[in-house]
Amino acid sequence: MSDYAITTSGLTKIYAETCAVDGLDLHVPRGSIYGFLGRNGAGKTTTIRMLMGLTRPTSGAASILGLSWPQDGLAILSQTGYIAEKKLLFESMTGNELARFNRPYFPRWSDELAAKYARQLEIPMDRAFKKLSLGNRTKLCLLLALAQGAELLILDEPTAGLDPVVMDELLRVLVEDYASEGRTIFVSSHILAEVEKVADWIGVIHEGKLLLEAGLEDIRAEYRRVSASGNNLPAGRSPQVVSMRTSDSITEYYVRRDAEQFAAELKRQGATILDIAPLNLEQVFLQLVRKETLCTSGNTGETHAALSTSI
Amino acid sequence: MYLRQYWRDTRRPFYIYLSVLLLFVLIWLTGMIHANRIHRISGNLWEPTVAITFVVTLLCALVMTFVLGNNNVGSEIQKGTGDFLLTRPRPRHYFVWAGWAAGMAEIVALMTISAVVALGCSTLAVGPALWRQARWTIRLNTDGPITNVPLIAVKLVLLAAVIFGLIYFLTVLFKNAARGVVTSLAIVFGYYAISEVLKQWAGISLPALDFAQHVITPVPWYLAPRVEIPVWTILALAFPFGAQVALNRADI
Repeated sequence: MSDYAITTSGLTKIYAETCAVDGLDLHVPRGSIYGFLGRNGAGKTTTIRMLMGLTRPTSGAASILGLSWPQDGLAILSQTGYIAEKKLLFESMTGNELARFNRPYFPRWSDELAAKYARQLEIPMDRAFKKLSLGNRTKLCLLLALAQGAELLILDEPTAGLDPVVMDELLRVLVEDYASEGRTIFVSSHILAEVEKVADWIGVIHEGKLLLEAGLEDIRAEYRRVSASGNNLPAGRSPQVVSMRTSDSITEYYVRRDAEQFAAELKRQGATILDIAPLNLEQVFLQLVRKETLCTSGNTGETHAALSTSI
Repeated sequence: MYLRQYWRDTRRPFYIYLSVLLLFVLIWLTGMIHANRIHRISGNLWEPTVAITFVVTLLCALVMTFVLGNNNVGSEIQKGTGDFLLTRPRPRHYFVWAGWAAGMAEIVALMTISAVVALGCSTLAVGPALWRQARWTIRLNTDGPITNVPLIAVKLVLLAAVIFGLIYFLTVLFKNAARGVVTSLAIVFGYYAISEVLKQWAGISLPALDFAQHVITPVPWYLAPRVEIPVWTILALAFPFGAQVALNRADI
């Protein structure tokens, strides 16, 4: 059995003249909660749709739970729960009817689980889908995905538009009930703080390319902001510099690893080191996808950056 | 599963159709019984009675083909529920053929009910003499006279299947119900117009798309029935097959 729940190799999708996903190499470890981050239009949803077989890649391949599209498509779908970005189900059906609709498709479907999550998430199962609030719609989508007994959950912006209470309920179910049993969650999101709460792996996609893929702990351990003052400070041409920003006489370097060593080098060049501070996920994300980025190329676990200043 | 969902989505027009039919039948029956009392209508009215029955059935069935034909996996994609439906572990062609079969079943059921009700009413109004002129065995070597009930039924079902299939296919192809219906109407009327133009100006006859012609005035078949029926059957089945190919190649 592969150590990865999802792997992609050179996954590419081109629409007319737009390259939505460009040579994506993803490695999602089994049992992880993988946060797939990117700006609007970065290629997250297109990637997910390719993983779910809704969109055909222009080139490249994807393997899910050791199975490959398209030959193992039905096996992949029967083991994968999916919540689409739009979260639309049959409008006239109630939650109970949707559960009955779903049941025959999935051999591992559990009515007990469905009833449990309906109670736990307080979903009005006898109300038509079209009459449910966005929060309840999302909860119902999650219930259907969980009750099918999936090995892998792929969630496209599951918390978008939800209030903090509903968001917290959903995340708690995902982490405490689902992921705690060693199953994998692949979740795309804009809400970095929520992802940081639950994810243990992070992938950052920008303009269709993977900028970063690493464990969250590694990101926290490696990424630092080095603040320095002085004249004629060097431009960040070192591979470990993700970006740099100069304001007045202070220059901030966002460094991917060996921050102490980098600071020592700056010091040797006459700079005064003001601060070396850790970065949270949001800061790392912003530095990686900032507009000032001139050149990035993505591959697994590596970020190569040659960045300009943004004075 | 999907059949049940299809029925849920289409049962409202189905019931509306049945209600309209019942109303129509009550009015018609009342009128016929009243006329029979006054004029003593004879049993020789078989042909006009059957003609009216089948034309009404055909027209109603055609209306229903437009209602049912655009209700399929293509319109689900348009509504945004295609993501959910097509990530259930079934091959895409399952959803195409299940929807097509359910739609055809509804159309055939409606046509059967309509025909039985209309003929039953005629019998009530005119009397059993009506039935002596009917033939109940298929004779494919005939020119399709109006008295050959099974042949007329096959014709009507095939026409409905072709029109239904066309709308079904185009709705899946465009992933849009309105575009599917409008394009189907354009094709049907376009074909009709072209065949009329060719007939008037060049003396060339194309196969009649409206079998009503055969019912009202028993014109000869374009080809012998034993040839034409399989051709129409193949055409009727080609559309869901085309829908399957289109859906298999589509990005949702």
